[in-house]
Amino acid sequence: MLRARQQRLLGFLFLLPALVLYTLFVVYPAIQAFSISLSLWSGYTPEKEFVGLENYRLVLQDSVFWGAIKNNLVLIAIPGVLTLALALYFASTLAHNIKGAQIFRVAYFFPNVMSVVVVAIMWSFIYHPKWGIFNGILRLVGLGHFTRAWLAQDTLIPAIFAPSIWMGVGFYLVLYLAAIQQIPQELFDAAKVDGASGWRIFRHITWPMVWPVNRIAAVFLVLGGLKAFDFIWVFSYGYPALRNHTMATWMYQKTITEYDMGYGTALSVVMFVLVFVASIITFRVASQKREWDQ
Amino acid sequence: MRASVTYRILGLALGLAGLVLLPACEGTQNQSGTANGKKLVEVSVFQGGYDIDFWEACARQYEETHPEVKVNLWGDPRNAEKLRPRFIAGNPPDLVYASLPIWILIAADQCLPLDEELAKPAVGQPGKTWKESLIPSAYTDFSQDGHTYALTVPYAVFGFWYDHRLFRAHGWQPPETWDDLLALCEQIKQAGIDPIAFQGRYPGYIQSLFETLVERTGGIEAWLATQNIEPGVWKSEPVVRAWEMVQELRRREYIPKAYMGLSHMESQMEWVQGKAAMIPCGTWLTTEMKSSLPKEFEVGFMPYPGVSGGKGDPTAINAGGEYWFVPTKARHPDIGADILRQVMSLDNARRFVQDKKALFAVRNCDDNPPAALKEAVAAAHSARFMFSSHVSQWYPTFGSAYNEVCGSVMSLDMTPQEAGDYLERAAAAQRRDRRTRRHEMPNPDPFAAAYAAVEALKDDPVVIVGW
Repeated sequence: MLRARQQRLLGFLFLLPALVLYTLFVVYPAIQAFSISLSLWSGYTPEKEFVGLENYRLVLQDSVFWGAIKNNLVLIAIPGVLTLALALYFASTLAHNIKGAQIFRVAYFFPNVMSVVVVAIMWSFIYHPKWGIFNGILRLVGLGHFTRAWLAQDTLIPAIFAPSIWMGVGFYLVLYLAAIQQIPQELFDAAKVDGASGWRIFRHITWPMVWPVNRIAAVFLVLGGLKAFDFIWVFSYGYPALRNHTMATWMYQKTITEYDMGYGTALSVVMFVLVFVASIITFRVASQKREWDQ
Repeated sequence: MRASVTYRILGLALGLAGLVLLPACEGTQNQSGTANGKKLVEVSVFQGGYDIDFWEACARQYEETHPEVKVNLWGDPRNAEKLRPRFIAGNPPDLVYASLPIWILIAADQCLPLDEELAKPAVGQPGKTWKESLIPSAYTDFSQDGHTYALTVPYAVFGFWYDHRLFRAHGWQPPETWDDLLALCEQIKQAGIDPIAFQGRYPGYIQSLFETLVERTGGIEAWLATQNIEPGVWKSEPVVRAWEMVQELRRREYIPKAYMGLSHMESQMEWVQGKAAMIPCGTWLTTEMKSSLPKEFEVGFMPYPGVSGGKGDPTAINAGGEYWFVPTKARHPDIGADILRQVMSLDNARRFVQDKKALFAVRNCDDNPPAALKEAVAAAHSARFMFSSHVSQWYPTFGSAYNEVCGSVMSLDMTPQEAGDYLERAAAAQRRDRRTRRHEMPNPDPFAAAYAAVEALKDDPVVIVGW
């Protein structure tokens, strides 16, 4: 009995340092953040003026914040769906042991190991309005009238799609590839013997079997999209136009650039709640049983 | 035995946690105090285009004349971020040059009034007070309720920059009026050169031209009203007209669309390489581009042109300064202020102008400016007054809207009327915002009252007859 209690104590003692650090660096700042969000504070005085839920009321009336949520949703929906579609397509292709599959696999995955900032700087060159390759290709294929300053404020959000997809495909490709390679070969063989077309094989064998990957991918995409910051920040040199903000960049701007710590922290609390709720909903929806789960 | 091992493991874990925590405390170290019988004075400077060598030399100079003081000067491009927690903790340095939100610091009582210090003698100029040795905007730009809380030290004036060789080769002349500018731009465009480069990814760069055009069109009173966010002013005729004029440059492709996707360095490189004939910028431009400017490049500066029929003064010049201040909670505020007085001696100011090819807020320090600065200095000297915008610093939320409008107007996404309406709404919201202190910009024209009196006399025939 005593031995069991000692073991529990030992276990607790082992957990204690991590608990102390977690409390100090996560729990305490989170509580402090909530307390700051109830105040009017520039961040340059020891005193804060308590204003209750005033900051939260202003967040709800903030048109830039609602625009930022819209941008977050756009960044989840468009590049997200395209990334998954391309990743699944490439994974299906590579799963059939085509020549040089290993090289393709590395090539697709490579952008994913690069820092977002490096990728963004690289794409800034690609999008350069005077000598960028993107406009160059448009001119080459006779679409010269579509050339523009892609990183100007009116096209900045669409300009993020391509680098996001380029960077994200490799990661999801690996997930899909692993899932496809787990599918017993006999299923494909049997379907072929029965005369199933490529599309029917994909629709009735591959797609149901990789469905669990979609669940994980959806959660990653929603969380990543709601926290989107880096591309916008680098592409706009830290000065996004009001219409181009996401929740994270707007929170940073209010807190750091405009010195409104109380309001910025209220934005961060709202953002936390939205991300938390969105991840639960996404996981619940993605976890719903499908017919093939039976 | 088991308990002993447990406690050792626990001790080790807590020790490691302590090691993790220790560096976090480093940022709040105060480097002022006393050591070896000397007073340690800490000076934090922004390490930007001017680097820190000049400021370091000033610190060593101060130590020579004040052997009881050891100046610990450190520079960092992000010193503002490092200083923020120290202002909250109440242990700031003794003298600060950083892009901190000065008006918020003044409101928070974090900046020491320098009025008494300014009455002390100027270093190296017998018979003159420190204040008398400075250009007026040095001590008026950051004053509130009659007190000076920060001093402008390096400053810049804004205008169009060009290469004399290019203009000479084509027989082009700097324009006097806006119509002249449009005609010149057309000639430049016909010659296959971009007339004006623009730092489009930082659309706020257009503000100096826009605000000058507000002044040129509606007079300094119109510009003052915009600074004081007076009701209706942001959609008033001079403001909308100024937006029309800057947008005209984009509409006619005198600033080609491509520039909206270029950063400040990229667009300035287009100008350096002769692909663009002019660029609107402050006097830091030549320092910023010094590693790229070819030796044969003959830097020219022209003030923004006047507007025919406008109410403004065509000599008035838009300026902006970088400020130094002494924190209220500094350990040695008196020495901090004294070091600043020494930094702003006439000799140091002259050396700065020569070495850094930039302007310094001390009278007569630019009597013999370097070639790249000659025309800018001439424009500054011949200006009846300078005017520096504070509206974005005073009201950061309005500043974001202002910046947004600059981008939208220059991208042709917003008409000048829409820009006026948008900013008027932003100004109205700012006026209602009880969270931000309202500021009052004094008229930068020292002769404004006299001119107004003369104008009033002109309008009063009885008085004229009486004369």
